Amino acid sequence: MWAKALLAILFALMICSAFYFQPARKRSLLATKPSDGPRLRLMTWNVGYADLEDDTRAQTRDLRAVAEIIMTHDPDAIAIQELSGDEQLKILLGYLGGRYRGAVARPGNADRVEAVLVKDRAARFEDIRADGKFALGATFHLRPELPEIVLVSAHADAFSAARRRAYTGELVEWTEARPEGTIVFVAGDFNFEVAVKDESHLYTDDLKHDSEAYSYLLKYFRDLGRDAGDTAINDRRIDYIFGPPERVLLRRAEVLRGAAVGRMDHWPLLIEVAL
Amino acid sequence: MSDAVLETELLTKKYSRRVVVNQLSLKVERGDIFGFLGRNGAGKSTTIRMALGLVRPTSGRVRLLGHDMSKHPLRALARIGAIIEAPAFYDHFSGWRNLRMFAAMSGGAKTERIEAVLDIVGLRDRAHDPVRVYSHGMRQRLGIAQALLPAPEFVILDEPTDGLDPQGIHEMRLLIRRLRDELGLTIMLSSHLLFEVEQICNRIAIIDQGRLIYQGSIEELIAKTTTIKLTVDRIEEAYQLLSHNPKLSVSRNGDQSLYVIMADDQIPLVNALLVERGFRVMELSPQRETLEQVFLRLTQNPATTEAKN
Amino acid sequence: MLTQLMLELFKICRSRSVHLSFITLIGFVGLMLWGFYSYAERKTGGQATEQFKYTYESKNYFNGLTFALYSVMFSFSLLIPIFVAMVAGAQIAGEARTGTLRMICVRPLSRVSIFLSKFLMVAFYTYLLMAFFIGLNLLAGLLFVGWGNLELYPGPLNLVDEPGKIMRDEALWRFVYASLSGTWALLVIAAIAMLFSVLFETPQMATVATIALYLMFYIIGRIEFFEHLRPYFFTTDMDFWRDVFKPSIPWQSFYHYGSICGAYIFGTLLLAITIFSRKDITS
Repeated sequence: MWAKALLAILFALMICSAFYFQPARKRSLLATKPSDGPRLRLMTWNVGYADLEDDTRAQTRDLRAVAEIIMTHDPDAIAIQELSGDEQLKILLGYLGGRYRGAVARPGNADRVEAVLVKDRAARFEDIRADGKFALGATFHLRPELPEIVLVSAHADAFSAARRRAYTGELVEWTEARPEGTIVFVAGDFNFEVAVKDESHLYTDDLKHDSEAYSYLLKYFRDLGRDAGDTAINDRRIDYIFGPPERVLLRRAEVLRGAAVGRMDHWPLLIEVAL
Repeated sequence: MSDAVLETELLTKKYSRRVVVNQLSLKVERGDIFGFLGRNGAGKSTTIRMALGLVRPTSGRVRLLGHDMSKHPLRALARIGAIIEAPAFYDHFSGWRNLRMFAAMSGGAKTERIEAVLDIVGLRDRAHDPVRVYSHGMRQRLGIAQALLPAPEFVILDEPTDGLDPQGIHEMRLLIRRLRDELGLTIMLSSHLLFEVEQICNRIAIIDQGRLIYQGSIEELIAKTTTIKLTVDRIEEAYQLLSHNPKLSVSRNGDQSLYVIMADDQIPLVNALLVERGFRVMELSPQRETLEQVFLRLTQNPATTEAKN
Repeated sequence: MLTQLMLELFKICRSRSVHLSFITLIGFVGLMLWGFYSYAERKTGGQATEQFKYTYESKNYFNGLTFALYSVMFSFSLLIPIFVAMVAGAQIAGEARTGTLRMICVRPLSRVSIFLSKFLMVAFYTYLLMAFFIGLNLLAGLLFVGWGNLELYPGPLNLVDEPGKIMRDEALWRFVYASLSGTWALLVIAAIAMLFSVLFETPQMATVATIALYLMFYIIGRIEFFEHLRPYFFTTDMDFWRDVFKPSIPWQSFYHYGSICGAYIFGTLLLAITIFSRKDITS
């Protein structure tokens, strides 16, 4: 009889313990935040096409639709990848009706360029040299009294993990050199393969390089779009927005599925943080 | 206070609608060698299993060595030894190791005790052989050895001679007698071998289809009724005359004689009746029944009786 | 109870299925070594002989700890549960089939203590099996692959969704934790097998029923379409043991799912003991 009673007590104890340690409970407590600072909304979007096309860069005919999506979601800054050049940027800014300022990075050895659009009229743009090509950084203010914000638009090599690793390393070095107090965001298409299940194997460098590059970024940044899901076709999450690990509170992270235009193979990633 | 070592009171076991044991009240007295008889499927093993707490009765009560089995089974089980059907052992262990293990379950036994029970059952020489190489008879003897290990007051042997050859049956009979004579144990023995039971037991119970149909001494059972072989002339007329008497059970043995089952006091009356009616009585001799004959008579079903008649 | 435990220990030590389980696990480790070696050879263009031990430029990338992790994870899903189900399923039904159960039950032992001593011995066996297997893998990993930090990558193990690393000494402790958490998870299967062992009359039936139940939930729980059903399967809760290999152990969820497994274990045992106490032993 005592054994049955003991088992019944242990059973009840386990049930209580399961409820007490319910992970959801902790999550909900963590999610509670009494006050919010000003909100910053950022977007990254690789507007290039899938490999099926002859020219996989952004198509000018899609830019009106791209502008409409940007206007609908109204981000404070946008990192764009795979524009064909300055001409397309001007057209896009035109469609945005003067609400944004923008710049494209120097092409370097690539046939496509990164761009950043920001609402702040006083924004400064700077090319960032990384692995023989250029990313673009925009420095701007959300409000004059708030700290400076930097948004980097990046596009890492699609074919070589070693090059992605080198590119990421140089990019992080540049962000680390920003003045203290600056809030830095790095956004773009990194092409990391850190969640592949069957494309990589234990004896290839790719997984190692991408994993180390990603880990290196996480040493300084937080992966803000981590829970938003895949950003590209074939179930890949290769577009990221990395932000400071402590100074901002993530309020929203969403992949705008269905927003792709034409034969684009990426969806825009939108995040909103409280500063 | 009753000196019963086993007492069942209206013991009943049903499996869904099938009644296997039906309101069975048994009593095994201290010092008895108690034979428990019944055909296959009569409910003997179920009764023994209920007595030992292996099967839960649907209703009724079992008292074993004075303990109510529904309340204090372990107190009773500590003082008994039992074999239920074929004794089972861990085949890959030796007989000795098996006895050690079963002894440990009953509180342990010294080496001398194990040697002593092995001597009793005559297995000492083969004790260290693995059980898997034992013959059926050796396994039965090892079964008795394990039953004797805790120095029990009461031993239940369910079909101990089942599957044994004549030599094995003879050895088992001698062994059971030794248990009674040398160790003074109370023994309950369930067996099909009625000759053996008749030789060994002082009291028996017979059950049929779960019901008790006799309980008492063998002498009483055999003496209760007598079969008379009756040889007369006009045998057909004699058969007609006697079969109308409800106190007599008459059967014919061809054209030669009749067998009449009756109480002893009826014998002179039957004789007088026949002589009075002018029959020439040539033979009137009592035929003493064996236990086997009584058992068969008591347990044969009406269809069989009808066919014989 | 102590005597009963010693007897059960003696029986389990002499059980052929127990011997078989240990021998099979040794074979499995050999097969894993061979598998990884041939895989490395294929993927590195025949240079595995030099590179297997210290793959590529980093000793940390694929080493003995990684090997042990893969081996333990792969075998835990199927191989070890089968052995646990086999041994636990034979505990009552096996004795019922050979007839020794009725011999034991007419000894002055309560059925509860008979059952509990058997379960405790199954638990001990399960721990031994886990500890032995983990130890063997680490040893094989050390001898044939090499030592280093435990690097974690997203991939077939489905353990982490971002790369991470556990330093060598810490990783060794994690393997020790895994032997305990793995045992706790496997005890769910042991308890279910013991329940079936009480319900069925043959050990084969008890084992097959346990494995069938486990596989059914395990397979359905891994089909993406049925993701919404996953939280209701005990196989999902059993996965908590793997959390010890995450770079930072999520203790909250570890305790939560560990407790659910505990509820399964004790609830199933309670049910099994209640049935066994009332069961008619007719074998």
